Amino acid sequence: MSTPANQGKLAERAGMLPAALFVAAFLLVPLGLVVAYSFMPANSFGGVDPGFSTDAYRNVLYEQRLDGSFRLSAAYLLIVWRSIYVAGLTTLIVLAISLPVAIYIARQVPRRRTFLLLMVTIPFWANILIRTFAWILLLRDTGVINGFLTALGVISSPLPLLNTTGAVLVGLVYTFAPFMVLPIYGRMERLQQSQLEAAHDLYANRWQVFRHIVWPAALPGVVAGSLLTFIPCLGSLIAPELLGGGKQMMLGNLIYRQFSEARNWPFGAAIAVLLLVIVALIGLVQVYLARRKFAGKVA
Amino acid sequence: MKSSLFAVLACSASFAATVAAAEGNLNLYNYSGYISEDLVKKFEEKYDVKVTSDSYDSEETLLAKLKLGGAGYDFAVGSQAILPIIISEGLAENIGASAMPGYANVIPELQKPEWDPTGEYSIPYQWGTTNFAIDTDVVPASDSLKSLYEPDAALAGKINMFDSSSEVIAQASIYLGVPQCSEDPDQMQKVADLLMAQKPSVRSYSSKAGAIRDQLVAGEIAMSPLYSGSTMRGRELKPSLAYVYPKEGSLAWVDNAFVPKGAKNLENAKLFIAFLLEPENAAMNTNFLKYPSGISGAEAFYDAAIKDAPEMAAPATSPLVFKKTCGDAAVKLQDLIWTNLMK
Repeated sequence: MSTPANQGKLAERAGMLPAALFVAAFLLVPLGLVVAYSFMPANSFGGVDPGFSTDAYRNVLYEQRLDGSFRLSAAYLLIVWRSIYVAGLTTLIVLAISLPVAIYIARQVPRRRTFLLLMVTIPFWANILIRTFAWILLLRDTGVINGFLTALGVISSPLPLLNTTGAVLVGLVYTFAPFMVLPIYGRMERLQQSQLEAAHDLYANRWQVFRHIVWPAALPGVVAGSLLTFIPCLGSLIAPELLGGGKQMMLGNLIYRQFSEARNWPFGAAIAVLLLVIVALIGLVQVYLARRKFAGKVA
Repeated sequence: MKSSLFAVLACSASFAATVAAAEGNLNLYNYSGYISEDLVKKFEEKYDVKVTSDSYDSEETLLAKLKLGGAGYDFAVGSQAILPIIISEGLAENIGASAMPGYANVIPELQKPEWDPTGEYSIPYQWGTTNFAIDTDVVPASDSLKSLYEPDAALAGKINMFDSSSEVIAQASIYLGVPQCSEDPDQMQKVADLLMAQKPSVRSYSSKAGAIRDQLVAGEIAMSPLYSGSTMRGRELKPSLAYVYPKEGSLAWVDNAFVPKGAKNLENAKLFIAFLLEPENAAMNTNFLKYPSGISGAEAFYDAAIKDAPEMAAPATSPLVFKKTCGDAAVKLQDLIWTNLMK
C-alpha cells in the first residue's frame, strides 16, 4: 500500500514533529493558558475559579467606581499609552546611538571588529538586576555622578537624577542598545566597500552616500533592532520600579500587580493578551511594509 | 560474591534509613533568615533532630504552597492576617497549643487571639509595628501620621512610601479613622483623596526595607513608613533616625508559629513549638531579629542594647491596630485607588 512517495511524505512529516512539539509545548500551551485564565472568574486568594466570565476585558475599558457604578476608565488606557510612549522614545534614542556605533564597528579591520562586538555584548554577562542597581549607584543623590559634580564644585546640592522618567529611559536605553547594534552591524558588514567608493567617484557627498547607500542597506537591521527594542520595552518591569521610583505604572507593573497584591489573575491575563495583540499588530504592519517594498522593487 | 556484597550494602542502607528516622527530622518553612541559627542549633542538639529549612517571600506564596499539599513542611510562620484563612481552609494541624504547659508563658493579650480564638493551632512568634521613621535632623518631632500623610511643603521629594496598596491604605485608614478593610465608597474616597494629595511630595514608592533604611541613613530621604526592627537597625548607623508611634494608632502585626496540615514529623513539630514557648529560647530570636517576642519572661534574656530600645514597645498612647486580610470587595476598592494613584 505504501508507495515510496507516500513514505517520503510520511518521513517528512515525522521529521517536522520535534518542531511542532516545540511550538506546542513552549508557545501554544502557555499562551492558551493565559487566554483561558483571562476568561475565568477570579479566586479570592489568587488564581481562578472554574467558569466563564468576560469581566476581565470589561475592566480594561470600564472601571467600577467606588460607589459601584461603571464608567469609562482612562487609567488603564493612560498606562497603555505611557508604555507605548516610553518604548517608542527608547527605541528612537537607541537607534540614534546604535546606528553610528554599528557603522563604526563595521568599518574597522576584522580583529578590531571582533573586539568591539565583544565589548558591546559584555553587559549581557551580568544579570539585569545587577546592572540596574549599578545605575542606582550612579544616579542616586549620594551616587557617583552627583558626588563627582559636587567635588568639582559644579553643583552645591545633588541633582535629582534617580526616580525620574529620565532615569527610566537611561536604564531602558542601556539595556536594549546591543539589540539594535548587532542587527545593524550584521547589515553593514555586508556592505561592499566598492559601492561606497563608486559613490564617492561619482561625486556623492557624505550625506548622499548615507542617504542612498548606507541607510537602505541598514534598513532591515534597523527594523529588526527596533522590534527587538520596542517589544520587550513595552512590558518592562524592573526599570520603572527601581529607577523610576514606582511612581507611574507601565504595563509590566500593572500586570505584575494583578498577579500579586490585587489578587486578580484574570485581569492580569487579559492585559497580557491585550499587550500581545498590540505586539502582533506591530508585527503585521512590519510584514505589510516589507511586502510592499519588495513588490515595489520587482516592478 | 557479588550478590552477597549487594545484600550487605542493601542491609546497611536500610539500617541507615531506620537510624535517620529514629533521630527525626523537622522541616521549617519561614521567611528567609527569619529565625536565629543559634536557636535551631540548640534545638538540634537538645533533641537530636535534624532541622532543614525552606523559605518563602510572601504570604501569597505560603498560602499557595500549603494549598498544594504542604510540600512536607512541619513548621511554618504566618501573620495574624493570613492565619484565619489558613485555619478555616483546614491547612493547619490542631496541635492543642493552648493546652501545652508552656502556653501560660504567652503574653496575656496574645493568648487565644482573635485570629486563633481557641489557641489550638498557633503560638505567637514575634510581633512588631509598621509605623514610620523620620530623620529628626530634617523632620520636626512628631506623634501623628499627619506628618507623613499631609507633609510639610519643605519635605517634598524627601519621602518614600511603601509600594503596597494594602499596607499604605491600612495606615492611611488609621490616620483618617476609617475602619480597616472598609467597603464604604465614601470612606475610601477620602483615603484616595489623601493619597492623591500626598503624591507630589513623594519621591519614590518602594517596600524594600533594606533599601529604605539605606536611603534614610544616606540622607536621601527623610521620612518613610518602616518596620520597628528595620528602624532600629538604621538608628544604630544614624542616631538622628527616630521611630514614630502615632497617636492615631500603630499598624501592628503578629507572626504566629503553626504546623501545616499533614506534617510528617508531627511530634517533632510539637516539640519545637513547646521549645519556642520557653522564654530563654524565644529571646534568642528577638536578640537576632530585633522584634519583641510574644513570650513573656523573654525580656529577662534580651541583650542590653535592645532591652530599652524605643522600637521594642509601643507606648500606651499609640493603640495597636492589627492588619487584616481584606475581603474581595475591599481589595477591589483598594486596587482601584492604587491604579488611579499610579496611572
